[in-house]
Amino acid sequence: MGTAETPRARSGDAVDRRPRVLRVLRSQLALVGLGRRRELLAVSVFMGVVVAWMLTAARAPGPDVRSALGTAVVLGYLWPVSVWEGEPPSRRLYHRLLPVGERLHNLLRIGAGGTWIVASLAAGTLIGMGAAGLLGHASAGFAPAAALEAVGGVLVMYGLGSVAAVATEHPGRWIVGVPLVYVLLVALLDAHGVQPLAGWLEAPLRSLNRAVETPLRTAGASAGGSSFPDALLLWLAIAGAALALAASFRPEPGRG
Amino acid sequence: MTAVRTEGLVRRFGDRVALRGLDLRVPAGGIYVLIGRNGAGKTTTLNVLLGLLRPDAGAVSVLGAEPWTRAARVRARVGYLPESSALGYPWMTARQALAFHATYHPAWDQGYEHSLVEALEVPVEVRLDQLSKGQARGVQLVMALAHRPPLLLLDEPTDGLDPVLRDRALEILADFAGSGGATLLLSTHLVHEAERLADHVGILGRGELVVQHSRAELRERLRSYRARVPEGWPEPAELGGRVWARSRSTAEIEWRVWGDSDHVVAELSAAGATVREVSDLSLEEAARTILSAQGGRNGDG
Repeated sequence: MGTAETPRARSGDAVDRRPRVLRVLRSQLALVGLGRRRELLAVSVFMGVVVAWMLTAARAPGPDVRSALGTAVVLGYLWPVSVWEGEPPSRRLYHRLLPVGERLHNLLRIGAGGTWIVASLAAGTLIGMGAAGLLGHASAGFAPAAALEAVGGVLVMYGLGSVAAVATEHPGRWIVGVPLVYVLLVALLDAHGVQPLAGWLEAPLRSLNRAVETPLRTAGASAGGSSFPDALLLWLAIAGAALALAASFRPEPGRG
Repeated sequence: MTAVRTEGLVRRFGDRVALRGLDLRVPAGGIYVLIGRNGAGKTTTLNVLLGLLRPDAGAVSVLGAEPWTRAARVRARVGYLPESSALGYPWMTARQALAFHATYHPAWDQGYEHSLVEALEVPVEVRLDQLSKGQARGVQLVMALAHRPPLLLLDEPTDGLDPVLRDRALEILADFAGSGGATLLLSTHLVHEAERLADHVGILGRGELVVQHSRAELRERLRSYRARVPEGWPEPAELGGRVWARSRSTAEIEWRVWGDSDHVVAELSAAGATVREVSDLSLEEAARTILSAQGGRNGDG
C-alpha cells in the first residue's frame, strides 16, 4: 500500500459530519434485531404457546387471557438484560465511542429494544390466537384501546428493566432482586402487623399492577370507564423519567 | 498549531493519581509518540482525550473542542484504536462490523476501506469472536482509519499483529500521516516500533511528562559520551544535574547527558577526561534511559 493510494485526512465541514438520528435508530434496530434474533424468536414462540394454551384450555377469554398477557409483561421486564447483554457500563466502550451523544444513543438502543419486544410479543400473541382459532377456540380478540394499553403495560415494565440494564453492572440481579426484596419486605411488615407501613409500601405496587394488568383483564372489551389509563400514564411517565436519568449516566471505562 | 493540548490535567481513581498535571502538546500534522511503562497513564490520557473520562482538574482541547462536553463531535473527528480488542459486536462478521461502523461515519471512504482490508488481510466473512487477535486488530485499524479522520489516537496499535502485518500497519500509518492533514498520537511501550514514525516524543512516567520534544531535538540533546578518565577522577559538578545515566568500566565512563554536545565535551575535556566517542541514542535507548532514571528525579526536558 503506497502513498499514491492513501487519501488525505478529511478537512473542513466533512470532518464534523455526524450520523442522522434516523440512521442511528435504523442501525440500532438492525443491531438488536439481528443480534438477538434467536431470543426474539423464542419470545414469540413462547408467547404463542402460552396464548394458545390459555385459550384452548379456558375455552373463553377472561382471566386466563389476562394470565397469558401477564407473561408478556414479565418478558418485557426481563428483555433489557438481553438487549444490553455483554455491555455493562464498564464494558460499553464501543457503544460509547460512536459519534452520537451518549444519552441519545442509549435511548435509541432502548427504543430499538422496545420496538422489537413489542413486535415479537404481538406476533406471538397473534400466532397463539390463530392456532387456537384453528383448533376451534376462537378468542374474542382485542379492542384497539385495550391492545394499546397492553403495549403500554409491557413498555412500562421494559422501561423499568432498562433502567437497571443501562445503569448497573449486573442488571439481572437488580431486575430480579428489587421486586424480590420489595415483596419480602411487604410480606414481613404484613406478618408483623405493621399494616400502615406495609400498605404505604404496597401502594406503588398496586398502582403499577393496575397500570399493567387492568387493560389485560379487559382484553376483548372496551377499557372505558376504568381509572387505569391514569395509572398507566403515570407509570409510563415514571419509567420515562427514570430512563432519561439512567441514559445520561456516563460510566468509567473498565481498567485492566 | 496544536491538535491536542492539555494543561495541568489531573485524573484520579480513588486515592490513586493517574495523571498529575499533564501538559501535553501534540503539534498538528505530525506523529507524536507517547511512551511510558505499563500503568504510566497512557490509556487514561487517551480516555480523557476521547471524553470517556472526566478530568478532575486542568483543561483539555482536542482539535479545538473540549472532549467531555463535546464528546460526539470529538469522536466524529477522531479515529481510535483501543488497547483492548473491544470494537464491534462479537456475533457480527468483520464485513457486518465495518458496515455498521460506517453508518456512524458519514465521511466513511469505502474505497479506502477496501484497500485497507486488502492490505491488512482482514477475513471479512469471519465473525469477530472467531478472529485471531491480530485479525481483530486489523479490523480495528480499518475502523479507525476509513473515515479519514484528522486525528488518530492509537493505543498500542501493533499489539497482536504478526511481523509482516506489523510492518504493513506501520507503513499504512506513516502513509496516512504523510498524505497530509492528519495528526497521529500513538501510545506504546514497544518503542523500537515507533522509532521510524516519531516526529515528536513524550515520555510519560507516573502520570506526568518527563520529556516532551521533537524527535530531532531529543536525538540532539540526549547523547551518549564515552571517555577515558584518570584514576580517582572527580566528575565535573556542572554535569551532575544533566546526567541521566552513568556506567563505568575499568578506565572508561559512559554518560548519557542532556545538553548541547559541544558544551558537554568541552566540560569533560576541561576536567581532564579524554572523550573518545559521542553517539546518538536510538529512541528506545533514550526512552529506557529516561524512564530508568525517572524513579529518582525529573529532567529539565
